[in-house]
Amino acid sequence: MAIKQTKTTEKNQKTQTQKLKVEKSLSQRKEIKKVSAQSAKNNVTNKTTTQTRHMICIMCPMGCSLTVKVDGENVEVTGNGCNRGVVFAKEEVTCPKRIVTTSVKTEHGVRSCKTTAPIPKNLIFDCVKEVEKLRLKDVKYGDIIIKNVLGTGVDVVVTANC
Amino acid sequence: MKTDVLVIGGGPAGMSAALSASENGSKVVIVERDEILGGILNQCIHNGFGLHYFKEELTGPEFAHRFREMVEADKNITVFTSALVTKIGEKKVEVMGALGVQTIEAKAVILAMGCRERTAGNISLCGTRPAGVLTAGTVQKMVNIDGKMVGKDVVILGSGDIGLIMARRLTLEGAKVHAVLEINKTSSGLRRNIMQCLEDFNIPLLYNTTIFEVVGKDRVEGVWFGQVDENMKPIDNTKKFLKCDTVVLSVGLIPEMEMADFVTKSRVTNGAVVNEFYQTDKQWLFSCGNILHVHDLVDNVALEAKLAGKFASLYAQGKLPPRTKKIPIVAGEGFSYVLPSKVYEGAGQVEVKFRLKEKVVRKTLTAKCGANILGKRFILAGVPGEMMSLTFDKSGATGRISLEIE
Repeated sequence: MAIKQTKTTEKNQKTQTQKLKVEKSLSQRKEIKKVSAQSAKNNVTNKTTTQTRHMICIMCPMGCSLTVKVDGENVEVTGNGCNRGVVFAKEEVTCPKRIVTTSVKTEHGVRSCKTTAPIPKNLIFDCVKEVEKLRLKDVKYGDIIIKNVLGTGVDVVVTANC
Repeated sequence: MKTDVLVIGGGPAGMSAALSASENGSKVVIVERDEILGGILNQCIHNGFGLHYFKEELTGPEFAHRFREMVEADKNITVFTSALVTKIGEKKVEVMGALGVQTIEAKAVILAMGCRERTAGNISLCGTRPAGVLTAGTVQKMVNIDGKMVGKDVVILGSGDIGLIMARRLTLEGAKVHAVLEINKTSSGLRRNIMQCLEDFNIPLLYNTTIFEVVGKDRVEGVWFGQVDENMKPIDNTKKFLKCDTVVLSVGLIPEMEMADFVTKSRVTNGAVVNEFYQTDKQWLFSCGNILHVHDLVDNVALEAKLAGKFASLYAQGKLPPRTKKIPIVAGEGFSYVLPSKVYEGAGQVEVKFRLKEKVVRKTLTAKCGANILGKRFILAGVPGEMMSLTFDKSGATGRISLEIE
């Protein structure tokens, strides 16, 4: 996938910490990519038609207004102040993912749970429904209650003891 | 009962302060009114906690769990749950709990009671008072802890982070969230939350808009809402009716300072005025977390409480550095507040926390004493919704330190 980056500013002004953050966010995103390969079959996104989307970057407080042009395999991002905006926009238009948190019913009341990694955004509601179906006896912190939810390769785990 | 350090409140601030006080050699008691430690984190089942402190993304209950395990493993910390502090006196605290009423004597006391939510009464919400007008935190507890749904058609007033989070949570639980109304021209919530909680679910966020009147006798039947002008006065011809059965309020937090209303408070934060040791104007009384000033990240609460716990512990052992000349720190143009607001003359690094009044882009923030620059930091961007900090060397300061944007 080709990415054109049309604007990069204040390269000189980046502090050490900002650089570290970029590296961190990139490495985090690489991990997400691994998961995305496994869940590719569930990833229904609109890649075939040319479309323009506007979004505000959430990578830092700057909140750059991004314009994203998607044309088949090409994603062109404009309005970004730094490279993190490109990474952000690219993922948002190709394969947006979210960690889903909800609660599961047990004999002792509800217990909070989460997906262990982000899953495709379009599966959020289905994932919540899968958890809703469950009626468990008792669970504790860290218990896996659904393995490989919706074929994403991601598990749902309990996040609290009470 | 006697102890070195008494911590009031067993949320993230209280637990972190207690661990730090213990680490610095004190016997600690935590008094928590809930049945378990963890505070508000227990009901914040969403993710996004711990990125700075634990370097990984956790949910609220997981963040609380980690701290709770550390507290439980610490032999120097005694925890009283289901116990309520009824009076704070000089180095003496009255506690009502399972053992009845008892007085705990402590060499230092830490306030870590957090905030409570502003209610319909606090914001003078017009109209009737039917069932179904709830604060976002109450809704969060009902849905996430008690497993009860609050309604089917929801309007959320205020776009604070808890309001945004609950918009998503209620949507996932099957309710229809019709809109989030924000009286200001910008949201105080994090941009990430606006995107992941509202935009992901096509929930409209209407700025300069508020509820004019709540309608309903026994249960909420709907709201009259509309736009406000620059003086926050309702514009009559924008008035519209929206049918709903639930109104969720996310309209700000109030530090729970009533128990300690004898200390000097800040007019901006409504929390205590503290020095670099997080010490109030009563030397034995310290403060940290949301009761001191409202934080947006629990990670910052834990880090701040760690300092407060350390200094309270040192004070209890008589090891806190002797007070020298007091130097005020003043927030200049563009800052809404700075904390701590005083330091003592002498060598050492100080980290001050502050909020900006408006968004700034590409500015240098400096801490100055006269013409002498003590510390500076370049920021690409800063917004009022995000707390910021600046570390500087106070050894060069002889008089008033001021924070400026250049």
